[in-house]
Amino acid sequence: MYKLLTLEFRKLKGTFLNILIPVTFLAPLILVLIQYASDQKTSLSDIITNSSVFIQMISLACVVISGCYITTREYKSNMMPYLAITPNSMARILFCKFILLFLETFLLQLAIFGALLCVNTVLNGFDGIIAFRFLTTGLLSTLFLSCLIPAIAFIALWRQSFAGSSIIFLVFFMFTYPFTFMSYGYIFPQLVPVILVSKFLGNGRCAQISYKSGIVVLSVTFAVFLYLSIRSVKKKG
Amino acid sequence: MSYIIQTKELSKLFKKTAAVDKLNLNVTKGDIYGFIGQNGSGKTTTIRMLLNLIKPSGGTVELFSETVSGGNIYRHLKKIGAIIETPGFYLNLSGEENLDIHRIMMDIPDRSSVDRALKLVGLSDQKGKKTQQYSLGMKQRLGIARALLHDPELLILDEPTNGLDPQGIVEIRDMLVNISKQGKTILISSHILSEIEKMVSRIGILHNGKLLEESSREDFRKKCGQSIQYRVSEPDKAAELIKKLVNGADISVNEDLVTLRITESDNNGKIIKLLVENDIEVKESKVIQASLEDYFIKLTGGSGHV
Repeated sequence: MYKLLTLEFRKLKGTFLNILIPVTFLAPLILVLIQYASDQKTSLSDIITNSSVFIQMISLACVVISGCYITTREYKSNMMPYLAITPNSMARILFCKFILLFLETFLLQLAIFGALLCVNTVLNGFDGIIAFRFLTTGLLSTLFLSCLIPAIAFIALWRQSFAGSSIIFLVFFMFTYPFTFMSYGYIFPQLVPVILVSKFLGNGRCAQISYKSGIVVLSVTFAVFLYLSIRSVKKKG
Repeated sequence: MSYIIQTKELSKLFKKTAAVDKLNLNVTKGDIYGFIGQNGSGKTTTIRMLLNLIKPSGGTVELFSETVSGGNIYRHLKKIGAIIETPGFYLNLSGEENLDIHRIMMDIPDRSSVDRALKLVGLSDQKGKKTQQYSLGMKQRLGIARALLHDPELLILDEPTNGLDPQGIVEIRDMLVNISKQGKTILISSHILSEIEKMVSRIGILHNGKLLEESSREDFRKKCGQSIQYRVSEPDKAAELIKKLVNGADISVNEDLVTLRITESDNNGKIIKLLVENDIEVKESKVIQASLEDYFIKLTGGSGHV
């Protein structure tokens, strides 16, 4: 398993993900700093809270694009049969892709919220409560976004096209985005990480949804799509 | 007899159409088996079933004298190298990196196997280049290098000379013959019969999913038959004389050429003597071996454009 995971990392060499991930990391930081520079009356912590939905949307978009690319690249380059004739099961290869995506999400969230914490510390001094809140947010965000990885992989396996699958996911997200601030927004799994993380950061617009409902929806989504994606990759191998 | 590949009544239905129909393929150890058929005849579908990439609708596949099942397929795959349709690669990586990824996936600890395989197909100088910059011919070579990387007992090559220039085709052909001499078995599919004819030891002809014939190249040569062509001054008169001499002769006349289809050339001397005695000038006489291509077209009822 470890060697397959190492190979997944090696395959990233020279891909656009090497640009996408730093951009995803820098975008929230730049947005928050611009807002802080133009409105110094509001504390940086409050700006981060107010921008939480945007920060999560960028992270989700990055996970969707990465997930679709990593899952479909073998289809695009006609590599699927060559993976299937090695003595490794397709389910195991897919599982390694999931781990890669989880690690990418984890590092990205840690980097985003770690960087925001550093900026806050430089500007306002170290605050243990804020530090704990930011780091917990990073971890929660990783877990919530990771629950969507099997769903992203399933759509990618279904479409077998990077552009097609990422567009489907992102367009669906855009159409359902207005439900983010409604009490039943949690019925759309792709909105749940945005809603719950924003709520945890104290964003009042997302306060009406309970953690319990959101976590149940994400857990079910994770389990169902994990099963479907493994079934799909076994069929199409 | 030790069979490396044996299929029994192997079939594949796509909806109600039979892509492969009760195929009984027999490939023995050390064979270079030419799997011939026009596009859409079921070659690739058969190869995909042999490699467990698609499940058969009926029949069985035996590899290395063992019926293939979900439980033993990975053990067999370690002994097989393959090219399936067009060779695919990670285009953002170099040829060497692509082979190294395959090496790790095949559990080969020896790193030098990559260099050996690249050298064998003449790509050592290009190993650092990204595969997106490779020509189709170079990709085919790299595909063969990948198939050979783990020193497999069986090579299954689906149209491996696609995109190669004539010199490249000759090189690959010589390479495959050398590999076969090392005791390896090769199944090679192609629709370009002239390429196959020169390297194979056994031939299977597939048409509309059915195996029409399967035998050694020598047997096919015999079946293909020969003809003698005479360039003469009076072709119609010559044809009449030959018909009288050879009972049931299959003769055709075209301008000054008289073609006699034969199974043996013993009559040639007698025919020339007869023509000369009848004041017919024989300008040229030559024995022509009918090609496998001609035989294939005859066998498939003239529908096999190859």
